[in-house]
Amino acid sequence: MSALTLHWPGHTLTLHPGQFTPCPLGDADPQALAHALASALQAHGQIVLGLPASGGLLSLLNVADNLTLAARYHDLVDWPMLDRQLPALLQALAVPEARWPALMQALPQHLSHAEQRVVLLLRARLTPGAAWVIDSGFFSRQSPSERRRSLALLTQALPGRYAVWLSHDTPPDEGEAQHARPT
Amino acid sequence: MPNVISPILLVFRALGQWPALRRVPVQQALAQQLQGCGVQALPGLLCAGVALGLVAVQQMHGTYGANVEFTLRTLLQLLLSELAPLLTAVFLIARSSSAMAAELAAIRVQGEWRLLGTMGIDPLAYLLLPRLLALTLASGVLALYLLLTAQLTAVLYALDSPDPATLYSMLEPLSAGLIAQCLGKSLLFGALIGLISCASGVAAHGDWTAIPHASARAVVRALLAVFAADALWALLPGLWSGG
Repeated sequence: MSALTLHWPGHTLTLHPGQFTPCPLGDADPQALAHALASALQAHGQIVLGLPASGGLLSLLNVADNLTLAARYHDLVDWPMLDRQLPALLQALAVPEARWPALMQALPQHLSHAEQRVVLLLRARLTPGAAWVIDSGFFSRQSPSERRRSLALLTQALPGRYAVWLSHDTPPDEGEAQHARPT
Repeated sequence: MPNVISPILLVFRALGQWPALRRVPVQQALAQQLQGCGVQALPGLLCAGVALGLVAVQQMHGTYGANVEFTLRTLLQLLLSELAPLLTAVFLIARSSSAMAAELAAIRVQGEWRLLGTMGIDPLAYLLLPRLLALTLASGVLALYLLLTAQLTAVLYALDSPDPATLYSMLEPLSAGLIAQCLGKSLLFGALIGLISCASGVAAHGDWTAIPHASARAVVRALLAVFAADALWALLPGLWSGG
């Protein structure tokens, strides 16, 4: 994968695979900017998964279907890999094992904010080759330990992916995530 | 005016996305919609069919004194030409149209339409196409189901014992043309309901208050469209031959 330069009205952004590429929000509406970015990435054949500050899941589908919808639609789903990775990722995100079956069947509107973020992270990890548009607001309501776990999960799968970090601050470095790297 | 036309155009564009039916999530959405619009409507329609059969026999035979043969034959003719497609359409509007419009309006208001787009999932193919197809197909099948339940109830209620001569006389008006008319009308009404429900839902924007508005709009417009189409269906052949 090589660097990718995106253009959309008023912006130019060069993405390098395997890095969180900062994209300053400025005065822009985070959602509008995320959608503009997603359109520009899509023009390069990328499936874009958002990690927004709120929302980001389809209310009609349960969690299991939300996790795999993009991969199933694009015929990219790898069920053995998914079956193998999902328990490890749920463990890494400190979701109690007793909660897993109910979580998978739940509709997004019945989940807590923390659980919605868990589902967004799982989807980002489990969709092969997808590019990420991450709103730094996604992490703002997390406890320090949740934030470390989330960043570790994303950082681990970052190589070979494009990721945009929408924020007023700088993206995290490897060091921030390494303490909680999932196995 | 443009905010009426553009959702309708969008729905028509959805029909052009039929190649997406090879995608598994679109097939699953279609199956889900067929289940919701079709299978789950069966018990309610069964009640309507039974009531219709009973009322028809009671009124025509019991109250107005028409003989059983005439009653059953007329009921079958009416069901095929008018009642089955129209009553099924009204039932679908009450049951599915409002729900469909509200669901799509919620998807618009919550930004999930755009969310699908960012994931490279065409909302026209994933959300609209299955709904349009499901309502159209369900309307055709449910109209035949209503026809059978109403006619069977009427036969069982009107006849003390099976009488081949009466049954033969009842089936006299049955022709391929009449069955095709019933099916064609039902499919047309289903397509109209689907089109209007989807267009009403897709047209929603703003906040949560747009959802009940979309739902109410879908019901009223679908009713008007179905009655107008029914009137045209009845009048056009006469106008055509008269001209």
